[in-house]
Amino acid sequence: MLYYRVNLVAIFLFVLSVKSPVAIAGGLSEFTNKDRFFLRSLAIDRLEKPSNFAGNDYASSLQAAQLGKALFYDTNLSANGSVACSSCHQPDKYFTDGLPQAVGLGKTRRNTPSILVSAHSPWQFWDGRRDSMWAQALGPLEDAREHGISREELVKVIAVNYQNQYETVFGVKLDPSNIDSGQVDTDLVFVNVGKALMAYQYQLRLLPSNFDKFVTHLGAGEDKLARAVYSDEQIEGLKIFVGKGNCVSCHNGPMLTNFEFHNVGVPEFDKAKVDLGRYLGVKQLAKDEFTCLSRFSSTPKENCLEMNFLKTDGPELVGAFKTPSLRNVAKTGPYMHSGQFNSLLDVVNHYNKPKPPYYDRKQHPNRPHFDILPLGLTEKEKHSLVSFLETLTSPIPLDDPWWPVKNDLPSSISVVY
Amino acid sequence: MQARLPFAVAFILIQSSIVACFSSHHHHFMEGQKWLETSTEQSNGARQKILEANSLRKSIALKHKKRARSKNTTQLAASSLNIEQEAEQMRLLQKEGAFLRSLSIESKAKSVKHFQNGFSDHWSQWVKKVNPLKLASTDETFVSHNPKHFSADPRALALHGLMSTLEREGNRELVAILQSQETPDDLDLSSVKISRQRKLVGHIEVFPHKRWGSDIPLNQIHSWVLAVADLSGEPINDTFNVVGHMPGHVHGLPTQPRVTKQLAPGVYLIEGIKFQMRGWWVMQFETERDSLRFNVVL
Repeated sequence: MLYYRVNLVAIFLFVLSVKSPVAIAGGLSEFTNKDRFFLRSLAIDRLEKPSNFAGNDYASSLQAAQLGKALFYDTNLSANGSVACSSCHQPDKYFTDGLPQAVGLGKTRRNTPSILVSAHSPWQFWDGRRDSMWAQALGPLEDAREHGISREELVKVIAVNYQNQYETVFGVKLDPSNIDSGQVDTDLVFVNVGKALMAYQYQLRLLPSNFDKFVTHLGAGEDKLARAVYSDEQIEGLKIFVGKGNCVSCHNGPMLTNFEFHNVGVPEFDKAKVDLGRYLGVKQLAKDEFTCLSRFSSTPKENCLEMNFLKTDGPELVGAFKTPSLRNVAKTGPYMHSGQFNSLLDVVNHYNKPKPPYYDRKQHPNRPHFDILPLGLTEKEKHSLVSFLETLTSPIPLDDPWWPVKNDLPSSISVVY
Repeated sequence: MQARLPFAVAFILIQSSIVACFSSHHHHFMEGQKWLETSTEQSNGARQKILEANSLRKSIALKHKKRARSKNTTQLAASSLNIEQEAEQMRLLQKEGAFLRSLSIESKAKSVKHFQNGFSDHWSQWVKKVNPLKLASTDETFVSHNPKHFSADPRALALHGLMSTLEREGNRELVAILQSQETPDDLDLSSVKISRQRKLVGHIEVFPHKRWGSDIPLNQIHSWVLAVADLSGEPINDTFNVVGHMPGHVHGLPTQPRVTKQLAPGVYLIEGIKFQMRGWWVMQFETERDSLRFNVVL
């Protein structure tokens, strides 16, 4: 019984575990009604439809989604015809690439996030430098290390290869011959590409994972059915997740993230050029051309609350990164913003005994925050936690046309819709 | 002539009610100011007593030292008596100081009560709720951010076995590290507060919203009303800077709220407030000459 070890850390952790919303030990009967209610709130069916679509009037249009799907898998949207969105966001890997850092035309500094839940986040990218999914989609297209295609080139590809589809969705006929003469609002077409890509990604839905089944049964008082879904080890892991590990204080809600920014002391990827995370991301966002406040968003400016009251400065922003969703986490490694950890056990080991963030007086505007406490988990507890994290995987749907697995990937332009 | 009489009566009644209302709010502020002065006097008195007690304590300590060196028995006896008397006097002073301090706190509470009534009277359109601000009841039972955070105490590091890591990194400076947030039991949660320089009185409340009413929503950008007057009840027109933070954590609000509108003389709309986690928050409204500080526990 670690809790009773006469040891300051243990006493401290004991106090924490008592204070946390769900502190439980033992079998299912020890889940109180409050615990069950709380856990039920984390199930995927509690995910609310976004209240607005971040100023994208085409977000729920099926035609836009179909155009977006074609664009998503099209390598013509790159400088040398070799990179598509799906090059890094691979459907059979839960829309990640299995690499520590994303590789497009070149190597980037950051890990490819799974896009399956991104439509629900107020912030995009690890540092939140874009405030909508349609604006996010535009970033990699122009980035020299990713698609490396210019706006003008992209608009030409659309005008030539997607003329009809574009007209159907956006009601404007793109004439390729008008592009060079400056008669086409290039920025607007560029943005519409982002909006179609968002519409596609919005169609990607998660099936219930074992975790969702467990908490749904538990919430309904169907303990036998719940037990059938989860092993003892997974139940123990869940208890650590919401109790001693305190993971749920940031990984909460149906997406298992609070979409906020924290510095958890992940090893610095490149000490010669430290990653300032949200500190720089928010500064880029403040002067970004595609925000909620831009002419491209259909949201009235007074409703752009996050942008109107954007916090652009603060010591806690330095080296802070967005809490990632834990949905499908076992299938989306390597982990952290630059793929610093290969396995879930590595991640748990880090949280169990974290190092303070790297600090370089010359590069950091102030000493980075440190947002986590050592957990004091035993070897057995660490493995239980990993075992629990593996239950967060949703099965890949077999008959979902929006989620094509490798064998039947659509070839670039020949997609029929 | 007769037909005019009811109008005249009505006119007089309206007039007098306006006067009554006006004088009532000023009366409340005058009373508030009076109790605040009393509180200040009592607090000063308390401080004086404590200072005297402290100097006695030092003198006693000195006498103890001298006594330890002395070998003369008659001197020793006299010194013991002297020390005993001074100690008795010290305890008395401490008691009186503590008593005055508690009186001062009571007087301040009375003054705040009067200021509260003054605000409700004069700004009845905006000031509807003088109770402490609280979290809107919600289905979200989770906290949205690790509530166990930060200090910069190297001992905390050693405690968690992290010092060796630091040394390995060749980095021996203080590192911000976690500390649990303790909310004091006697935390003043009043929605009416007297400013730091005691020049202003302010009141805060949530600007009513169809979803969360006049309670604070978690993780939602929302607005507050801030009413500010001087001690005599005159509305204050000034520029207010809004700063929020969680004591014990090194972080502030996730947004940058600001005054967006003056709703009436001395009444301000603060937009862009968002709390991303439960716990003790301090919200400050600063002008060049003074600052108002409110505690909110969510």
